[in-house]
Amino acid sequence: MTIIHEPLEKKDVRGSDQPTPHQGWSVNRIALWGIVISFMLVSIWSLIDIGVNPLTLFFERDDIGNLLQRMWPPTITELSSVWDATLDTFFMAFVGTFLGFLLAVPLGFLAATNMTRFAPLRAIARGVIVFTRAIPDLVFALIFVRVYSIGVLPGVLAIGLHSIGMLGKLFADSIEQIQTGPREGVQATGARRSQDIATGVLPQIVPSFIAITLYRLDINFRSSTLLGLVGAGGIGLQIRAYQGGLRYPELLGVTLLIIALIVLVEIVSTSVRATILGHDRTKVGLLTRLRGGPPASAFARSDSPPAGTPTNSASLRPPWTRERVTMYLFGLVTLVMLVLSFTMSDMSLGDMITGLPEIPQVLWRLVPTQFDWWQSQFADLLIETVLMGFAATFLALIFAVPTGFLAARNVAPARWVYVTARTFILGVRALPDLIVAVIFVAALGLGPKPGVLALAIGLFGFATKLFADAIEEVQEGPRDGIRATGASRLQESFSGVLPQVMPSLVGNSLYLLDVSIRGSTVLGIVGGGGIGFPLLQGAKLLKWDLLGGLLILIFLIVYTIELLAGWVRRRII
Amino acid sequence: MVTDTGSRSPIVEVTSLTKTFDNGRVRALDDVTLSVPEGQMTVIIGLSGSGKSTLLRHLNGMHQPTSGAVRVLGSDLVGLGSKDLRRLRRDIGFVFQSFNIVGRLSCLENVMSGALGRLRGPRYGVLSYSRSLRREALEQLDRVGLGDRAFQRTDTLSGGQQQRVAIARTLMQQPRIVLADEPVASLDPEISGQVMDVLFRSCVEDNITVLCSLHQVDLALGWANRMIGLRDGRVVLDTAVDTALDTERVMEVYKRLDPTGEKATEYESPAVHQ
Repeated sequence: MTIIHEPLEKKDVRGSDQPTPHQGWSVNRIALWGIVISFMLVSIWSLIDIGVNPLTLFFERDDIGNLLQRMWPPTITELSSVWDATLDTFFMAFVGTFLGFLLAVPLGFLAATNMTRFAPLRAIARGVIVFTRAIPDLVFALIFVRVYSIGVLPGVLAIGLHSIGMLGKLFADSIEQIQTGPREGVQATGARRSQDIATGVLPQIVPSFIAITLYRLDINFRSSTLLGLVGAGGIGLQIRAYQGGLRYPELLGVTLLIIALIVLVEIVSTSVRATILGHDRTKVGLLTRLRGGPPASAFARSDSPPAGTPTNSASLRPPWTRERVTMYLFGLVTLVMLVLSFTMSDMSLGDMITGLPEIPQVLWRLVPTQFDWWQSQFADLLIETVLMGFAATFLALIFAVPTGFLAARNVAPARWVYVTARTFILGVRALPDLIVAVIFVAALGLGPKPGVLALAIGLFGFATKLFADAIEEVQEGPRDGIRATGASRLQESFSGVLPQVMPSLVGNSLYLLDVSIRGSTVLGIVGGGGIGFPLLQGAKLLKWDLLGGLLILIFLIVYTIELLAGWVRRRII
Repeated sequence: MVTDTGSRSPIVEVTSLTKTFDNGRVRALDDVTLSVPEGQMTVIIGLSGSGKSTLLRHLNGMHQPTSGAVRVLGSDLVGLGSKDLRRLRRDIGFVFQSFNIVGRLSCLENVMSGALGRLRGPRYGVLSYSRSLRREALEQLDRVGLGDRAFQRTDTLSGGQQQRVAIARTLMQQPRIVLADEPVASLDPEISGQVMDVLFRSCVEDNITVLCSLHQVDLALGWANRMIGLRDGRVVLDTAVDTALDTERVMEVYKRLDPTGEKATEYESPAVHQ
């Protein structure tokens, strides 16, 4: 029999019976390699251009050491105002996340293909999501501080608005991933649309919505410590004052306090998330792993029926199972926190309610009407911003890939190595990158160099966690297969593990580039180079045209990178 | 041929039903005509891809015909508005091969969702249903033998138990017709027998008309009083079961016309135990 032509509709040509010794050079493959190689080239060029290399921190140890000496010993003065500022910070993050959740839920439904049939509506929802994701919360805060004056309110609004981006996207994704079967079953009983959503859709998405929002709360608490740098209330205001007054011991003291709080919030949020999501290993944090594996989920399967419920005499009210108690407690805590937010911080519900509807108007004012805001130096600064993003990603990756292998439980050479590596990256991740930038700028002077180093450190922590988690996800089968051939441990990692994690390694790297370029747009606000400085100036001088114009340019850059990264990720995964 | 249709009015009438997918490239149903009187237990047999599911899905409006007419409970299903379709579906229960229950909900809540067609407004949580509905649902769960699992999460049950919850949900609808699409295809033989018993016994008790598609011919023989065979979207067998059933003729349904044809790849042997 001869092989007949594969019909053109069949996409998977690689699946044909004829193994080819050489992979063909398809257009896609050329484009893919083109992008990977240009990523390398741009990264190396940016390292040279900015004047950093993987050993820069080592070479600059004298300057950084000197600064640390001036910072020593860390102190905390004005305890009561620091305490107030800390509370403000937390409540700002909490209310901001809640606001983001309220706005993101309808957007998520509007953006999901299985909920909204009308394509233009979906496109609008996606547009809002993409825009709010691309503009850093610090930039929103910068603008809102000018409109609502210094305080917690602009911080809440900035966090709320920026959170829509990630929450809306993940909500839409999780709505699109629900099983259609249960919905079909509910619809077949003659249920109305609203009933179908409440009974067939909601139960499937509630746990992931809660988990996603908790994750966002964690992220928002990190960034809320920084919003004060542009005047948006919280502990960041304190940092700005210490930085401006060269009060370095207090700067270090507050920084350490923030790190401790961030670790604490992460631990709490991961344990709550683990309780709600259950066995999902990737989302369980360090502490729960150190305690010996993820905890039994409140929703976990239990094969034994509730004991002692004889037929017919069974109650008509649901019993207080662990799952139900957890959900009620969770709701209660959320409510209490909301009440506390408005009573204990200098945030007023009235201001929020009057402030919120003004946002579209504020954003509208940013739409540039003419082009006289453009200055030729902006082009250089925008290029510098992008290069900073590349440089920071590249530096972070060089260190993150090997550390990721050490921090993966199933690959690490010994348990103590794994525990040490995980603890180390938890600590690194708790360092807010802009505070590191503040310190590096103080030590090394203004410019892109301290900015890139600070950004790279933050990305390193994030990347290592992503990689380690991806490595822990690999299937054991292929590894066993390699081991059975008599391979050494290192060979096993290369042949059994690396091929499995390669797609997620590349995918995560591209995601990091995306995050990195977004991060590099705001470094200039603390003197770390790039487009952030003119943004800050524009806000200070209330030049709305300039602010809006730069925002649009930033959005275009970030969005282009995101589209490119998404395209490559789809090709390889 | 079925002879006792005269005394009872037809509850399902399908006339020259043809359904094609992929712009006519796949012909799932080809000129199917049949009529089912109230109270009849009909079993539809045939290979995978013979059109059994497609036929059933036309009977509650989940599919719209390419040509032909479908009348169920006196309503013409072709071009029925979504509101009228919803109202009609309250009277038509559907039991799915994959159960299609909401796994995260408790058994009781899944059963109560069968009453949504009678209720106004969305419900979330057991307590959002009235006490009498909860009692009614518990009774239905008892009927399928799962009264003690009312507040257990449904996805913690075994497959056979999950399908029984789905049957209880269908009974909760108080339907006049139950359409069952391969209700036991994903269960092992022993459990299959139990589930079929629960389904048919309840429907006999409540005087519900049943149309059930099946692979396993032996399971069909126990309950059905009529058997319809489909092959490549055509009716190739239509016989009463209480008369002496010719095994040869039943097996004909499973014979393929052309072993080298497209259907050959989908061949699976029917489970006939003699």
